[in-house]
Order: sequence, then C-alpha cells, then structure tokens
Amino acid sequence: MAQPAPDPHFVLRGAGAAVHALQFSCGGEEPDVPILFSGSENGFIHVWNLKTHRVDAALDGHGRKSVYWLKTMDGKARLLSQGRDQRICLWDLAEGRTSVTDSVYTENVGFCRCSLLKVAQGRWLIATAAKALEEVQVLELPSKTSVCTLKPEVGAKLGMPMCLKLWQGSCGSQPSLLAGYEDGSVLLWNLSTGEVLSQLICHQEPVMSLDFDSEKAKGISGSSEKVLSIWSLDEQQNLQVQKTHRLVNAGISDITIRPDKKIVATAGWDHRIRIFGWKKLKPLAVLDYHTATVHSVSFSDHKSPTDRLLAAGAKDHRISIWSIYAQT
Amino acid sequence: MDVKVSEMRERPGQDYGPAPRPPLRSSRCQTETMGPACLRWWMSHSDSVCTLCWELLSSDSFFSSADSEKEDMAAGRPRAGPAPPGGGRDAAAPTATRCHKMAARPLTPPRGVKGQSLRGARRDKRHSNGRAGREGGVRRMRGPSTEPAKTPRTRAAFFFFVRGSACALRATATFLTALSPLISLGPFVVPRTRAVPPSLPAREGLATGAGRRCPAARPRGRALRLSSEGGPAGPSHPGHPAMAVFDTPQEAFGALRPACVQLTKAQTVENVAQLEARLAAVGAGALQELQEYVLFPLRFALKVPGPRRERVVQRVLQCLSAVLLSTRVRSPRLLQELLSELCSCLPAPHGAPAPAEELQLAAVQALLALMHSAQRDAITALYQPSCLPLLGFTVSLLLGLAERERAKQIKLAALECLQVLMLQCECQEHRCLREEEAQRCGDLFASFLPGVSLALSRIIAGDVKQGHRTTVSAIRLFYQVVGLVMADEQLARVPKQKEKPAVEQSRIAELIVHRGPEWSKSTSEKLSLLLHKIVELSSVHSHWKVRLELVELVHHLLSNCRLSLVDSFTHLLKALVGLVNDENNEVQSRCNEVLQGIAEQQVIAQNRALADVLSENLHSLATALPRLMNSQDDTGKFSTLSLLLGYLKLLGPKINIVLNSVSHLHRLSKALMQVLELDVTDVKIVEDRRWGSVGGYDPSGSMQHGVQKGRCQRKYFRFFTEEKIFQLLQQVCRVLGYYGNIYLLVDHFMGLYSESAMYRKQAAMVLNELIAGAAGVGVDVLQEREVPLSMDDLRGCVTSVLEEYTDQANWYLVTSIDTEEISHEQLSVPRSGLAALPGAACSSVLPSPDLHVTTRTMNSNVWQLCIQLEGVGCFAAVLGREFRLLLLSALYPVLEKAGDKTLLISETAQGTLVDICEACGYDSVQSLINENSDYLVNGISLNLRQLAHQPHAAQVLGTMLRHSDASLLPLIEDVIQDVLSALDQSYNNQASIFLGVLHSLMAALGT
Repeated sequence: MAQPAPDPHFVLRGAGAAVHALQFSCGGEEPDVPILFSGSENGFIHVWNLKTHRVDAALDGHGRKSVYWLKTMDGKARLLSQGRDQRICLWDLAEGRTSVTDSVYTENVGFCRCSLLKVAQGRWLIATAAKALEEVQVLELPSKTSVCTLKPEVGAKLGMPMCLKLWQGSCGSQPSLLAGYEDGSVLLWNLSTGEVLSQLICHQEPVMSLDFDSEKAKGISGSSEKVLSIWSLDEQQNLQVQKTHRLVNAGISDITIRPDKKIVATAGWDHRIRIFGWKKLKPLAVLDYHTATVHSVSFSDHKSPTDRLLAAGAKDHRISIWSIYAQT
Repeated sequence: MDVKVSEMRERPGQDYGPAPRPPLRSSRCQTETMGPACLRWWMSHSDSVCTLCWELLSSDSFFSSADSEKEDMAAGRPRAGPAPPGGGRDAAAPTATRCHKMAARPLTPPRGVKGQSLRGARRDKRHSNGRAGREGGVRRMRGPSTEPAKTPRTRAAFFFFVRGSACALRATATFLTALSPLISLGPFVVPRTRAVPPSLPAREGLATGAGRRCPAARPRGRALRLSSEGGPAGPSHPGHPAMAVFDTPQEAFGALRPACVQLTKAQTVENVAQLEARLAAVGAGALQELQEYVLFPLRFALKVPGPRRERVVQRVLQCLSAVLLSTRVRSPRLLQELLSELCSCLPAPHGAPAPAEELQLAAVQALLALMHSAQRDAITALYQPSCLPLLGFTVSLLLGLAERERAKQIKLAALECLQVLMLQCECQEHRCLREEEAQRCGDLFASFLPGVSLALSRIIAGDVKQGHRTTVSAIRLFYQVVGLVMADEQLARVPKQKEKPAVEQSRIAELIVHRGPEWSKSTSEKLSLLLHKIVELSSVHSHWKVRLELVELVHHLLSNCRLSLVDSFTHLLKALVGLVNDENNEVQSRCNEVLQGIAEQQVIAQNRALADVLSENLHSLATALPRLMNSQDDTGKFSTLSLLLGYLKLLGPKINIVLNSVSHLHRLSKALMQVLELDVTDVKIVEDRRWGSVGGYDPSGSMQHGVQKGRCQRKYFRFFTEEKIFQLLQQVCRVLGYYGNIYLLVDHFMGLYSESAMYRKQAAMVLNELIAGAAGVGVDVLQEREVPLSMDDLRGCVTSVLEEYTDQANWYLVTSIDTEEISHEQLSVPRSGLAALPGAACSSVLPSPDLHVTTRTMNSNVWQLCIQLEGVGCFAAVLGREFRLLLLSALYPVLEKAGDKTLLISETAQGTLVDICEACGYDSVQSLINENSDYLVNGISLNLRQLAHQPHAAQVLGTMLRHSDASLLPLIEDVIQDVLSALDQSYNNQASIFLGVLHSLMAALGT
C-alpha cells in the first residue's frame, strides 16, 4: 500500500490573487530570515518571512498587472521582477528599502518568462522575449546593453517564444540559450553567433516550460498536452528526444529541477504538483492540495539540505510549502 | 598504624560510649579514660606527651632553678608514701616544688623582720590545724561521700609540708620586707596613668561571668572591684567606691601592706576578705605596680603547708583572679609559675577525690583570668617548646575537668579556659597571632591534638543532659584547635624533614610533632572518623545552637583545612547541605550564608577534590534515593531531597562533571523518574467532563478577562503527598537546568521521554523544569553561572521539546471513551493501549490486540497531556515575545486541547493560553487568536483534510470565528471551501459541528 500523500508543511495565505511566480532566498546566514518572494496576478510582490510565515512586505511596482517572473540577483537585496506591464524591474530591497532602482521596457505582450544567468561577478545576462513576435533579446545587466537578438530564420513559423533557459556549460564555455516555442519545438541558440545550433520538435502543443541540467546535458519540457519530454544534448550540440512521459491530465505550467539535480517538480493544470526522480523520471509523489491550477513551483536554496523546501503557487491564491527532502 | 585504624573501625561504638576505665596502668592524664584503640592512637601520636610532661613536672629536673632545696624535696618525697598512689601525691608534689622555688628567689634578706614573720607563720600553722574540720561548711554539690576520702590526702600533704615549710617561711619574710622601702622611696616608683590597657577584659562579677566570652573594655583607671559573692563570711562592701581612693603606689602600698602581712601570717577567709576590701580601694595603676607584692600572700596561701582549707583556697583564688583581671602579667616567669600553681589547685585526673566544685570553678576562673591578663610577651614566651610539658599538663587537667565534671559551670569554664589556652578566645590580645607564632603554636598543639580531639568528641557525644552550651563550646573548641593545627597554610610551610633538635633540648623536641605529609594524612584519617561521629550526632541535636555551631564548624574547617581534611568533607558538606532546611531560622540563614560564601569564593570550583567529594556524595544519594523515597516518611523525604538540592547547588557550575559521567546522569535521572511517579488511580480525573458549549472551547468565562492565571494543576504523586517536596524536586530540576549543559540534559530526558511510557510523564515534568531553570526562572542558586544561556540555545531546546510534545503520537492520546469520539476513532485505526492516534505516517502500525483502554491508562494520558500543556505555557513564559515565532506550531494544538472534553485537560490548556498571552504580550486571548488566525487557519485547513483523524479541526475553526471579525474573512475564504467539501464527505458524523461553524461564520459576516 502506497503511503498517503503528505500534507503541506505550511500554506501561505493572503497573496490575495493567483500566484504566478515564486522565488526563494534562504541562503543567508543567521540572523537573516529565509524569505520567499511571490508574484501574484494583482501586481503585488509579497515578501514572505519563512520564520513567521507572514508577509513582511508587499511590493507594488507593476501597475497592478500580473507579475509572472521573479529572480534574485546575489542574495535577497536585489530582485528582478517581470510583469505584464511589459517591464522588468530591478528592486533594491536592502536595509528595508522597497524601491525600483531600474527597469527595462520589453514591449513584449506575451507571457514568456525571462531567464537570468550570472556570467561573472557583477555581470549577468538576461534573455527576454522581444517586441517582435518570434524574437528573443539577450541583454547584459546591469548595463542593459543588448548582447544579441535571436531571430529565427524567415519562414520557420515557430511562433512566440514560450519559455527560455540561459545556461552555461562547465567553466569558461559560451553561454547558450534554450527556448521553447509556441509550435512545440525547442531551439538551442548560440549567443555569440546568434545562430541556431539545434532544433527539436518535442511537443505538438506550445512548450509551456522547460528546465535544463547542464551537468547531464539533459533537459525536460512540458506543454499543454499530456506529455513530458526529456531530451538530451549530445557532443555535437544536437538535441535529441530521450524519453517521454505520459501524464494523466494535460497541462504543465512550470517545471523545476531541484538544484541538487535529483528530483524534478512540475506544476500541473490539474491542481497537482508532481515529483519525479530526475535520473529516470520515476514518479515519486503527487502533491494534492491546491484547488486550482498550479502556476509555479520552486525549490529553496537553504544551505542545509534538510531545511530545503518546495513551494508551489496556484490560482487558488495559496502558496503551499512542502518539505519533501527527507522523503526522496 | 593501619591495624589500629581498622580496629577503630571495627568497634566504633567503644570510642564514644561511656568511657571505659580499665586499669591499664596507673598512668595519669588523659590516657586512662580512652578506649584501648584510642589509647594506642594517642600513644603513637603524642609520644605520650601527657605521661612525659607529668613526669617532667613532678621531677626535680623540670625546674632547673631549684637549687639547695632539692634535697628537701628528695627527702620529702618518700614521706608521701602513705598517700594513695596517683592524685594525692601527684597534686602535692608540684606544689611543693614550686614552693621551694619561690623560696629560692634571690631577694635580699633583711634580718630585722625575720622573727616577726616566723611568728606569723607559726600562728598560721596553728590555725590551719584547728580549721581542718570546719571545712564541711563548704557547700558540696557532690554529696558527702567524698568527705572522708579527703583525710588521707590532706594529712599526707601536711606531713610533706612540714619539711619544706622552713624555707617557705623564710622566703615569706624576705618578701614582706623587700618592698617596705618603697614607702620611703616614693619618686622611685612612677605612678602610671595608663594603668590598665583598654583591651584588658574586665571581669566584673567573675563568678557569674564565666560564660562571657567577649568582655567589654574596662574604663581606664577605674578602681578594682572585687567580687564579694564568693564568700558570705567576707566583709562585703555594699558601696564600692566608684573612684579609687589610693591612686599612687605609695598610698596603695600603705593601704595594702597590713592586709598582705596579715594574710601571710594567717590564711583565713577573713584575712582574704580584708585584703579584698583594701584592694577595692586601690587604683588599677597602683595595683599594677604592686602586682607581685599583692600576689605573693595569695600565692603563698595557695601552697601553704598543711591541709588545704577549701574555703580559704577558694577565696584566695577569687581574690587572685580579681587582681589578675585588673593588672597585666608581664613577666613570662610569673605567668608560668602562676600557671603551674593554679594547675595544682585543679584536681588531678584520677585517684584523689576532687575538691569542692566551687573551688574547682574558682581555680579554672583564676586560670582564665591569668591567661587574659598575660601580656603578649609573656604569652609568646609561654608558647615555646620548652613549656610544652606545662601546657600539656594544663590542657590535660582542663580536659579532664570538662569531660568528667558534672557541674555545667565547671565544664563550661574549663572549656573556655582551654579555648584561651589554645589562644582561640575572641579577645584581641590573643587573637592576632603572627604567622610564625601561629605556626609554632600549631606545632605545639599538634602534640595535644589526639587527646584534645578525642576528649572533645567524647564531650560532644556526651549526655544531652550536660546542656547545649557545653556541647557548643566543645564543638567550637574542636574546630578551632583542628583548624589551627591542620590549617592548610601551616601545613604547607612545614618542611619535609623534621629539623634536628639541639642536643640539650632533645627531650622536649621529641615531644614535638612533625606535621609532615604522613602525619597530616594519618591524622586526617583519624579526624575524619571523629568528625563523622560529631556530624552525625550534632546535626540531629535537639538544640538549634548546637546545629548552628556545627555549621560554624564546617565553615571554619572548610575555610582553613580544605586540603588537609578533604576526606572529611563528605560528612561535613552533607551536614551543611542538610542543615539548609533546618527548622530553626537562624541555623537556616547562617547555613545559607556559609553556602553562599563557599559558592562566592568558588571553593568548589577551584578545588577539584571537593567537587569530586560532592559528586560522589551525589552519586550515592541518587543511588539511594528511590529506596529512601519508598521507606521514609515525608519529613525524611524532604530532608533527603534537600540534601540532593544542596549538593547540586554547591556543585554549581561544576555540575557538568556529574552530568558528563554517564553513570551519574543515569542514576540521577532514574532517581528523578522514580520519585516523580504520578498516582494515576483517580477515576475522577477521567470522569470529569467539561460541560457547556459543544463547539469547542469557550473563552467567555473568566479567561476572557485574563484573570485566571495559568497555574499548574495539583498533581498526586505515588511516593509523597506534600507540596513542598514537589517544590524541592522542581528546584532540583531547575538548578540542574540552570548550571548544566542544557543540550545534554534535554537530549537525555527526551531519550527517557520516548524510551518508555513509564517515564514519559516524569520526563516531561523534568524537561519543563529544566528549561525553566535554564532560563533562570524561579531558580534559587548560590552563585551565578559563568555564562548565561543564549536566547538562541534556549529557543533551540524549546523548539525541539515542543516539537516532540505536539507530535501526533504524543499529543493525540486516548483520554476518554465518549461515544461521539469513539465513533471517529473506530473509523480510524485501532490503537494500542497508550499510544496515540496514529497519524498519517504511522497508520501502518500493527493494530494492537488490546483494544480495551483502562481508566488507568486514560488517567495517565490525561496527566501526560496536562504536563505537556503546562510545559508549553512554561516555554512561553521562558521565551517571552520570542515565543511568537513558535505560535505557528504551538497555538493550534493548545487551542485544540482547550476544547477537550476532559475537564482537566481543557482547564490546563486554557491556563496555557493565558500564559502564552502574557508571555507574548497580547492583551487577551482574543487578540492572541485574532492576530494569529493565519496560523490557526493553516492548522485547520490541514486538519480538515484528515477529518477522520482530526475531529477537532472544525471545533477550532468555530472557536476562531467566534473570536474574530470580518477582517479575518479573506484569510479563511478557502478554508470555508474546505469545510463545505468536508461536510459533503462526512455528513453523518460531524454535521452538527460544521453547522455550528457555519453559524459562526454567518455571525462574523454580520458584524
């Protein structure tokens, strides 16, 4: 008999709207309080204190438009947020400040989440869908200079980019970008040349989310259909489908590989969070708590493995926090 | 030596029983009254000092100055033959010797007066002959039986003195004339203004003032006042002149001379009284000048040949004391002579019947006066190895008196006198010994230590009828002497090897003990036995002053001999610690003071040996504790536990020594577990139900106003009933927590908590108190700990304990067999007798065959929960506002229990809520709930998911809704959804509760 599904460790209430983005910041030493940022549909970014499980601050910077991507830059003092107001904001949160210090106007009307990659100390790359429908723009931060614009070949008919993943192989190698498109294909872009290295059509429907493990050169993508696709990148920079996994219910809105590359969590339209082993995609658990579509899953970056958490934000305004490390 | 020790151990009773008097040998002094084992010890240690000094005293060689009269002595001795062996002869001999010596003093013999004094002496002889029979008039406390026995002795003395009297008389004459030129040589003697040093003790009313120890300084130049209480026959002076009549030596001499001459001629009570009367009119300054002159007739009267007339002697002694008290003895020679003369007035240890008690008393008091009046130089000269025999003799006489006399006054006076003799009295003159003087005295007294300590311990162990004052003085003297001789600082200075004595002093030097390491080791072993006995007897003595003195003893020895007597501290500390809870307040407070002092000086902390002694004591006590708890009555248990507490307090920061030892910790914790066992037979606990609103806990009662403070429920223990015993145990745990390594302790007791259901309640109780103690709440300690516990550590401990307490397996215990609940419980999983409702994680536990839950088990579970709830309250109080962080995990479980059907649990939980409220700074339980409703909602929501297991979730929600307002609604929106879906699923079971919840919701919406 299988064990009954565990309960959430805790449920954060009070976001006040559907939660679209989550970002932990728990790596700090004491007395730093572990923090979870959540971005919700009503444009607020909530700063959750994970000790009291209460909102420390609510940031309002996207004109009440949905916030759908959040990322910290080196600790919790600087936060990047992307909203439906077509802006990417840089927040200064140090010493209790809550101000937007910088912003980028993307002019993109889609809902493709950005991707951030730290290439050197104090230098980041950010990939974002551009104003033109099929284009992806890569900027360098904090200078905001454009590195390249990735334009598919004319007539490729990929549709809009749906999800992006900037990654860099082992030290020194060039950063690359994986992008999932509306037509169900995943493209590997070379950032320096601006050329497509490989293209893989792994879904029939738009790719909703993907994540890539640069160590194993293996990625996973989910779409609005009932399939999870695992593909790998060979030496010749070719993407190949390795395996597909069929789901009971269609629709994956977010996929995250845990930083230790052992498990993968998916956020399902069927209100469920699924946990798989990353190596063989063995289903480990179905976390059933939410009562609406789960929009986002995120693993925490606690120093001590036993403290690490999984957070899921859903359309039912709740953020469920799970402690699943011990069970895997 | 080892053999002897073992012998002593085999028959400990003999050392302290009524002293056996085997005719070991006709030897004298102390030795005879000792038990055989002690005797051997004595002999081996003191090199038979007493015997030797006795021989020395009675032999001619001792007084080397005795010259031509030696032959007289030698001739006189055989004539004493008819006297009974022992006392009679012994007492007479030294007197005679000194008499000779006195006569030999080189004074210019003026011929003219010789005849006169001879006549006087002759008349005196006649007098004494005629008066021998009248002495019966002296009051005898001892009964008439002693009277006939006196006769041979007096007669012997008489015969003896016939021979020596010639020279004595010659000397008298010499002396009487010697000072006569003084009258004409007025300017020769300079009258002194500073007649009496302020430090000189004024002994007014000597006979009654024997017990006084701290005499007030005498006003300068005040006239001598004599005690006239001693003899009714003496011409009393009802109106003593307040001012001296004769202030110059010349005048005084003129006044005193006739009386002195008269007394020298005839030693009668009247003559002594006359002298006393004259003395009363003489200024102290003048008297000092004439000291020796006045003393002469008195001394002469003491050793006048012929049978002793006790009344005269007594009167003379009183007069002598009076003179001594208002003057100072400056010459070492005079001091020594007087000392030996006064000793001769004391009864020898054995053989002869003792003189009248008044006489003995007077003699002892004269000794006392002598020691007090002696000046520093004289004293210094007395405490030289050469005087060891004399000192030893005096000590043994006084010890004999103190031990064997039945009259309290004499005992006391003798003890006081001993105290002075050991230079331990409180007056300034004797107090401040210089370092090397103290060292020398220590060397000297080491010779007496065996005899003194044995005799004193016998006195302490003596009949209660001797009165507490005797015991108190004996204890005081004991620790003073031991403290001096065994003083660590002295022993540290003692050279390793005994110094080679100079040849001429070799005989005396042999008597001096070398206080080397070996000696101190074996002596401390012996003393340990004595101390053990003393402690045993006096710690349970009925008079509080004895117990108080015992505290002083421990204090004194602990501050002076903590190295040398380390073996004894097992008993000493036990006594000290045990007396902390003495019924007498003074003993208690003094004891606390001493303990405080020990702690403040960090005696234990700096002395590993003492800490070891303490931890050994603790270990053996912990081992015996369960047995004692079973067998003793409540008073006994109280004192046993006080002892335990005392040890812990004394160990203080060194407690970790004990805790780090596995066996110690094990013993201690097991003892606590057994002692704290609860009585779980009361059915009422289980039966008492909480009535009232069904939908969970109702805070509209007294709690609403925060009146009812969260207090502990009265618990019933198996092994004791008194509340104060429980309080002691609480203190024990708190002190442990205060000093001990809290992580280690919490870990250990958590282990016990989960180890066995038998220990669970006790372990929880201990854990609660440990944490309170660690935070320093309500803990009564002697010294501050070195490093106070950091808040983080405390929070860490509390968090882990709290987690354990509120774990499903420990929180959801079967406490009732209500039909309502049983329906759910049967729905869920069968459970074992005590374990808890299996949570989701442990639902795979095998169903226990024993479905029957006994009342006993339920009672036990009720208590378990109460203790845990109290713990939560205690943790909150300890952490204060910091506890707000833990509300997340603690509030829901407590609120849930507040709605429990069992009255006791619900009451306790409500108390806990109040505690939390106070600790976290909320105004009321309402605001507590209101401000933390998000935590509660979380719990409710999660528990609603498992309705079958957690039937109370809806109740908690209902409660919450009732105490919140519309502001809460956004938060619980989704919970209401949960409720509705839960209602769909379990319509049959909980419809009523859910409807109640929905009703509350509607009410909240309405506001």
